[in-house]
Amino acid sequence: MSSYYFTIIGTKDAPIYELEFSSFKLSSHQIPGKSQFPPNIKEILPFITHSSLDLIEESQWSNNQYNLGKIDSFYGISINAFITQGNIKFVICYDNNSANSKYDESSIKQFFVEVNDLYVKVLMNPFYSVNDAITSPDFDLKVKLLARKYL
Amino acid sequence: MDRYNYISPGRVKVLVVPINGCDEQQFQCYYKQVSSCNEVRLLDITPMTELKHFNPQTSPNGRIIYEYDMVVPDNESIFLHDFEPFRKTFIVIGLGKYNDKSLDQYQQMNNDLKKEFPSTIIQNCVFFDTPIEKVEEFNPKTDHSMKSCLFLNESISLESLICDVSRNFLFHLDDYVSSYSNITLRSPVSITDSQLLSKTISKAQKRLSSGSSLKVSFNSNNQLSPAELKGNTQVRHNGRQSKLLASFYLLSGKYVEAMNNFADALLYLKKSEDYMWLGSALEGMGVAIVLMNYTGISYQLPNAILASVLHLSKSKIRDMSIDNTVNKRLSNDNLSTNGRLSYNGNGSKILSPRTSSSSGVSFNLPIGAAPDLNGIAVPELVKQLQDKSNTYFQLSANDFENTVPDLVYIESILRYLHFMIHVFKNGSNINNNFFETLVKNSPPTPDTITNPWYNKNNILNELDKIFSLQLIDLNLIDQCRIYSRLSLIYNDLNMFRKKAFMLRTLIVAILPQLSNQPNESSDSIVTQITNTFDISTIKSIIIDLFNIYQINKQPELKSDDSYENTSSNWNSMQLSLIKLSIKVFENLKDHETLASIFCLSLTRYLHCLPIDDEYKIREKMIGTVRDFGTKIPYPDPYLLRGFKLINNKAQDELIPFSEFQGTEIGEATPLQTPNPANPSFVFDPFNKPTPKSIEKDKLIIKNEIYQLRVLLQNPYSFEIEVNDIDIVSNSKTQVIRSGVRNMFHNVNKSQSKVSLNNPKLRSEKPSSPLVNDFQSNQLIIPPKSIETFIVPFKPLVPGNLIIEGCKIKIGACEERFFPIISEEYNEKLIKLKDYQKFENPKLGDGFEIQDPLQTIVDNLRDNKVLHRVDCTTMELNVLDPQPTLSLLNLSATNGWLMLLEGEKHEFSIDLINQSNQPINYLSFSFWDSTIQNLTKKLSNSSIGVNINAFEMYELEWYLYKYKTFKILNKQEINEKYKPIKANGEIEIKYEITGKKNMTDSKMILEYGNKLNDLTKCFVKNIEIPLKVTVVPSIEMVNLDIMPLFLSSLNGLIKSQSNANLTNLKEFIDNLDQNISDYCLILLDMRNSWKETLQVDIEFDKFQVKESIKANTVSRFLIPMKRVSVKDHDFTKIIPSIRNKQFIKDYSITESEDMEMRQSFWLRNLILDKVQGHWKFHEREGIIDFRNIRLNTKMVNYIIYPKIKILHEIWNEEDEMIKRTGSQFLLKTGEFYSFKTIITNFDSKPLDGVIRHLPFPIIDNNINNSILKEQSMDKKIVINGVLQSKLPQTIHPNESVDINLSFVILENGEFEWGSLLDVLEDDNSYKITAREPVYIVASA
Repeated sequence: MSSYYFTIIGTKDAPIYELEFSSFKLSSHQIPGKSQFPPNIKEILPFITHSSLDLIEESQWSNNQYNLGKIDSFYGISINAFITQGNIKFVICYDNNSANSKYDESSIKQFFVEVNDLYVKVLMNPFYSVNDAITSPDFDLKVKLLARKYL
Repeated sequence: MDRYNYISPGRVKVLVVPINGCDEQQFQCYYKQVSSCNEVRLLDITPMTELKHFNPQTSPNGRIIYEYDMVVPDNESIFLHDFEPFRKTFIVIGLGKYNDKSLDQYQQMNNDLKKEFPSTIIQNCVFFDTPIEKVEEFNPKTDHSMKSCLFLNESISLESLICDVSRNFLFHLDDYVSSYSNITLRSPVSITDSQLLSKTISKAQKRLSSGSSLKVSFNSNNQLSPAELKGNTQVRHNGRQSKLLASFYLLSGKYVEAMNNFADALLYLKKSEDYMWLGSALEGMGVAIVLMNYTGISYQLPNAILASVLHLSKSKIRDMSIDNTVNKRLSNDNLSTNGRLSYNGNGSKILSPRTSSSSGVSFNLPIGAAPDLNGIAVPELVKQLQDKSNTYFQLSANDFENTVPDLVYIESILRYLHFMIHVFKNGSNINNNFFETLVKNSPPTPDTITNPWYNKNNILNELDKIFSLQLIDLNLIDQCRIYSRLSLIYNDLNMFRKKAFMLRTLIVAILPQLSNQPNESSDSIVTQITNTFDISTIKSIIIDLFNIYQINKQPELKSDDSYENTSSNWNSMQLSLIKLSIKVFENLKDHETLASIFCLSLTRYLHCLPIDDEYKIREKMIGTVRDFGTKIPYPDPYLLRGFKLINNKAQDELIPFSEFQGTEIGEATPLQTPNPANPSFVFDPFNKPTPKSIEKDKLIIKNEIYQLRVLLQNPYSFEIEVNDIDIVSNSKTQVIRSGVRNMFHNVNKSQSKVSLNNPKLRSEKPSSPLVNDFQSNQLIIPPKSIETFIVPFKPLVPGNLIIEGCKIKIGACEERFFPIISEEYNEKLIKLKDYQKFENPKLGDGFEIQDPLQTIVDNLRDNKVLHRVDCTTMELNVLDPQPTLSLLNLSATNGWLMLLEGEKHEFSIDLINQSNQPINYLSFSFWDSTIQNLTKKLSNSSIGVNINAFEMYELEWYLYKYKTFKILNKQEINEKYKPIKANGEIEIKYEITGKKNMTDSKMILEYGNKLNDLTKCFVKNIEIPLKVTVVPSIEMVNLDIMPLFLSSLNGLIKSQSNANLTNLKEFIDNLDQNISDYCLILLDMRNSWKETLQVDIEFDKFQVKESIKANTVSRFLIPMKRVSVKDHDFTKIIPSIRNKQFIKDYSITESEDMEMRQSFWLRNLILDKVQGHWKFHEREGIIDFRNIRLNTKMVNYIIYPKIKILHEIWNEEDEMIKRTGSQFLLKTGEFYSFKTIITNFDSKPLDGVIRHLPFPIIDNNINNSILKEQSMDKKIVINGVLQSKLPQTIHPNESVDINLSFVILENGEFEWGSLLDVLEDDNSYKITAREPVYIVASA
């Protein structure tokens, strides 16, 4: 059972949305959706995400896909990223202990694509401006639903 | 030093130590000199043919490269020395100053050195600044034996000395190496368990198998059987021996030998599948190749061995060869570009896999060409070697005994990374310079051309391998080295976030050790850390981190930053970094920096700090200040939220003299005076000159105490205490500290509440002399609130006083200035991206690193808040001392008076000038409680409540003309009390009149010290209140006016005879005029007082005195001479006392208006004449007649008509019959003539018809009109007609007599009236004779 840390990062390197969750699949005795990161990892997750921005910016110019795939890893934490047309970065960190990483890659991609849809909807809100934190509970709920669906 | 240089396996480690009492500065100087010559050519070393291995003569081009170090080597890696000899420190050199000792003594020092460092193979001492003769003596040139003590002089170059050392080194190394020949070499076993590698490597294998193009097959059964192992032992031993020897050759600069030995080793080790040593040998081979290129030694690679070890096919070698690469660069055809792509792909492992590339290119190769590795470019060759080496290291994990230690593996990768980055940065051209800079690790020249061998991804992939290992299990110093190396690599790759992450990890790693720092003797690791990182380095690293993690935002300064800081920032991350840095600096005991971090977190991160942390930081802050006396600025820059002067004493209000005079005159200045400068008549409201009035609120007097209301905020969850407060202004002021207090006295409540929650907080306060002042009333601002404080102060210098803010000392923080914050600027929403902002600032070399810790402290200290908020100042005008007048004595008891209405009462006040200034200006005014009511009524009239002009005048009269107060001793005041001297007294005598409805009154005195310069003079006022109760006394309750005839009083006089009537009768009797020129005023006066009052009413010359008993009404009859229209103009408009503009009242008709005017003026006439007084013992007062109202009937009685009709009766003898009483007594049957005299007083000629109306006065009992009519003709015989036209037009002031003769036939009483019908063009009216004629006829 993997745990995930998902962040949307604005153009000024500041996160505008953060979510920590775990896979809803195979959850046996733990609270479903509650991330299982050990505390010491949990603490450095933002740092990992932040440092992976370097790699995202590196690969965004050598890649014409929105989904950048797995771009970094740190001690067993893998980082996948997605970049929107507006240079907003979606970054997901997960502990890579599931056996079928191929499957993971594609579902993360699906997850990114759908979150992008949600993000565009948020962006279209006239009261929202770029790089503002996304505080909409509706957005939060929908992202969680997507997480449940794909991850 | 560049510990992880690629060629470091080819460097000899030298320990340099001070000897012979060398001080630090000197040693550093020597060290610098020595370390500058770190290369010795073997050519320069005296040949030693006796040496088995290391005779420098055999390879003159080789070099020994030294790596100098001042740090004593740790023993942790000693187990690796047999495996990687370069780790061993071979040489120790003592550096010292020559100081005239004997050679033996110097020799002894060398021996000591030997004892001290037994693990080194040679020890040498170098003595600087030796006199030349001593050098000759100790080290004669002729002596070519090996010397352990070397003496240096300016004439001898240091290089030659180092050559001597090198000679020693080679000599001893030869011995040392020989000792290895009989030893069975074992793989190093780490003291710390390296089992972890096997776990992690298995993971890495997966990755390799999936992502790498190397296609290494991992057979599960590649472990050899025990029998095979035995057979292999000898081969393995040979291989290891060769490898070790090669490593030594590498150190000694004999690179060709090294290469050859490595080749042998490869052969053996490959055969014996000794992967760990094989990997190391491959790496050594790479180093040897690079060094040979560096030294320019020509070499021939062992092609066959390398090709087999590297699994390189001929075709692939051909593909990689330089010629081919160059060809590919030149050619443009598809195939070759494809080839080149895939060639890059070898490293990147992302693009096309190797197999396809090799197959694709193989068509290009001429069949049967010999594989020649010499044709391959060095970077490519090194890459192949290194990739293989890594693979073998990883494979070694399968062999339990011979697993490569983590450290070896990681360092190998790091060295390789050094090479990669060097190629990445300036590898476009592989030439001598390339190798030179690689070996010397000099900063590469910026190179924009991409190299064909490595791109960023290759490097990052290589880096990733390190993260597959658990660095945390390595010993600390190695961790530190690795992390700093990694961050350096990221720095080289321009990946600053990654670098920051590494640095953070580094700091986390060293954090636990930092606290142990003080007792360094115990722990050698810590000593080394402190050597490696001193405090300032760590500080600069943390500041670097702050900048990268955007903790350098300045929300207190810029609203942009504040918007970003609160809306979306990585606060959790930043806070975690801040916490980390707090721990670091706590351990380092850098309280200055710590203080800045506290400020930073409380100023910038309050919005996301948990309450617990807020408290913790506060406690730490207090602790820092208390224990170390660190100065901390108070972290909230917006402490001072408001500022107001309290005008507490109304009578102290100062009015500028100029202004005061204007109001006194009471004449409004004309609204628009034609401005000569601006001849246009158009009124421009914006051009209106602003009146140069001084704001009265802002006038304060020097040396007097005023109170300021100061609003202070506390945004924190803990309470804060204000320890001192001072006003900052442009001129001197003095704050009365003992008077500073909380505006609302809820201090105690909150105090007890908070201190319960947090008892610790209260006790921790530094005691300073200022605190004592404040202890009586502690100024506490409760958590998250704004408190108001009263700050009394005294201005000390007259003039303009601008208060800019306050100097406030909060708790333990240092006292500093706070501006007055009035408003926050609002950030406008930006929906569009700002292009310039969008570009991330690259933290490159040119980036100006700000110290966020310094900026926060500077911002707070200097109050750089102007971009975020608007600040105000308070301007006050300080005046010179002004006189003060105060009441000493008021003769009315308790300031209360009971007056009867209209009563006059005298009293006096005593005042004293309590200042040192004389008063030369004094003005009086009064106020009473009726004024308010009257003004209200008057102002109501202007907003629509209809009051006619008459009533208006009446109200105005009461308002302006009725003098309640009167000053009796005006003359005396003028003479005696001008000026009122300093501390002098003045008595003012007043007379007060009891005004109806008055309850309250005030005497207002305005005074000042009038100087020549009026702009600097001010007027103060003092109000002396006087409570008044007015009790009703004599009131006029009713008024009537009657015409006065002779007959009027007849009946009355007989029945009553009071004083009034007697007076009246007397008056009438003495009258020498016609009584009809008078009318009678009837006044009903009521005494509402409880005692009998003596009333005295005068009218013209007529006077009545009468006593009226309590609560009774008495009627007064007063004769009044009638008024002729000719004498007075009753058509004047009713004036306005206020000088109000005349407004025509359209709600009444013209004639009504005229009537009103007439009655108004008549009333005025009456009021002028009537005067009333009352008296009761010593009390006396006036009677108010102003409630006289005249109706039309009364007016008519008073005014002579325009046309006067008089009747006279004449007898036959032409005698006028006089009246008897009011009647004419006539005889029946006699002829009389009824003469009607009509006089025209009007201005117009009169024409009309006169009608006579005689009729008998019949008893009311007989009510028979028919009888009356019938009898009339029979009673009086008229000779003529009763109705006749006037014989002529009566011109103004003319009269006409009309005679009518009659005979009365019957006895009886008759009334004869007459009526004149005036005929005019437009209207006609009737006039009756005023006095009817009563006739009594008898026989």
